[in-house]
Amino acid sequence: MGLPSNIRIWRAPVASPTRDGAAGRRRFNWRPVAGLAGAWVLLGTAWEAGARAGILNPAILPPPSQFIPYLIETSGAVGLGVNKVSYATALVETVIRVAVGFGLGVGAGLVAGTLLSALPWARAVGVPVAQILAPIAPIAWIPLAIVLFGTGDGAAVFVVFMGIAASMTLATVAALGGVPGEYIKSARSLGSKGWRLWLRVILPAAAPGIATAVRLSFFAAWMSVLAGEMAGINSGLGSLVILGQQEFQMKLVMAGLVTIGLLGFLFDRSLLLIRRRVLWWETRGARAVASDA
Amino acid sequence: MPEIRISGVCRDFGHHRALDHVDLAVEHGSLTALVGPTGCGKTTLLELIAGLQDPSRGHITIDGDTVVGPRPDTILIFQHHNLFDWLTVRENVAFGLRNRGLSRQESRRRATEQLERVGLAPFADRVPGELSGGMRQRVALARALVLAPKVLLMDEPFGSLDQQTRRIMQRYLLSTWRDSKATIVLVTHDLDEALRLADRIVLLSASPGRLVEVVDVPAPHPRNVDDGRLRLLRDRLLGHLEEEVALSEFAGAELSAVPLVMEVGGGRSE
Repeated sequence: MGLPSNIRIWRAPVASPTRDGAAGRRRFNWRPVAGLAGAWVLLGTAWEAGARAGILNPAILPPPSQFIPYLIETSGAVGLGVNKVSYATALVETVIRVAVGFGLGVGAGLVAGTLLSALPWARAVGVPVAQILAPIAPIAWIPLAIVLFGTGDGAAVFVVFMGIAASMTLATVAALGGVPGEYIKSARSLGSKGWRLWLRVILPAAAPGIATAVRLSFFAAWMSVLAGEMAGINSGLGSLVILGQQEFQMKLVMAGLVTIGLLGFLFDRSLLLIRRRVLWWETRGARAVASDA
Repeated sequence: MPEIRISGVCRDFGHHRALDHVDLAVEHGSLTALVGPTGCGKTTLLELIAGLQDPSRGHITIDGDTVVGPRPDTILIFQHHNLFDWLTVRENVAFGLRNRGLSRQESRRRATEQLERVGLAPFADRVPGELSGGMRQRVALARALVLAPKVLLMDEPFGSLDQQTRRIMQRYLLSTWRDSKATIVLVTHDLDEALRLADRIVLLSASPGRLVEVVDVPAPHPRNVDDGRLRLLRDRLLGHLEEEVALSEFAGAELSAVPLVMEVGGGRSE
């Protein structure tokens, strides 16, 4: 029954791999870009139409046709004297704060998580500590941050760092612990050991989980820095929005909100692009679908 | 002289004994199949031979040397998570060569040669995610064979493949094995697979794993498992196997209430 065994089935016609060569696969996909632009146009148009029709009160929800020119004309400054905040300065400040805090927090989480995974005795102490620190809401660190660093960049970076470092540590430990045992056994059976085993097998196997944690950490970092700026660390975009509200400059508040959304989106997209570049194998083959969200 | 000698090997996990006094000699260049119910310690035995675990008692020798850790001449192939998704097919095959201290260039050259030998060269720059299940296992086999192992250990290597692919892969294994002259120990729960491939079938009981029966299968390849002698053998082993499965799956009280084993075992033996 079955095929006669002298049939050389393993040499039999191999599907041509030229079909999906590098050129065909890397064609740029315009659909998400078109969708994004469409969504913004739709939202802007509805907003404008609502304001003109009187459904939305333009004094409270000024439409883009009002707050964009306002921003260009006044450079969006609010406040007086030392509390004066200008739009451009606020934007730069917030971006630098979140980038530094995020970089330090993710870096510390990665290093701490890897060390805790590699050293069982350190894990016994370190993981419970991280588990206690992780649930402390980032904004709860604000009073301590202000006492330690005063109101300014140092406090904002500290809040962001504390907001993500512990959870990033735990996520790294979980991702490394979740590497299938077969990978490690296969690698050891093939003669891999020590730091090479970590570098070539364990870390790449855990990388998708870590990358997801990094992306989630960014959202936490973004919230932390804005909340911090609103709640006492004066200056920055968060502070701009609060001051705008206090002075009833709703055009500025709206401009701030849109900026916050747009910046967060750009950061997140950048992280996704970096992930695709670093974890290049994910976007090839059957698994391409899974990482697309 | 036997290639692998397993002497009085026990393996305990805490208070649970996974393997109980296993003695087995595996001849040089033979293909041995370990068959038994889930949880009988087949995989544990394989990992002990591979040096990935240490026996709690007894010892294992390969070529007369006691196994104390992973050896370069002993390679283990799993059912899942075999290939590294983050390396191309060529890099996967070169992985073991790099670990042996070969230069990147030399490893790549030998990997390419091996892939050409087995007809997988057109896929050298693919990543595992782009391959079918059968092809992944062929690459895993190529990755092991490029190291010219003396002992090849396979843990249900074709278990996740569909029936047709599995049959083709079995034939593929037989033909590549003849060229490699490696000693193969293969874990399977598919009795037909064991009968088609193995020179010797080792039946293990459920926890703790003990040797129940060791049967030599002298039939030449290619084999037809529906052929008279093999069918008799299959029936006998199947009776044993079902008995072991029933004993591990059902409690004693259940078995006395529902005579599962008696009927099946009684009908099948001879």
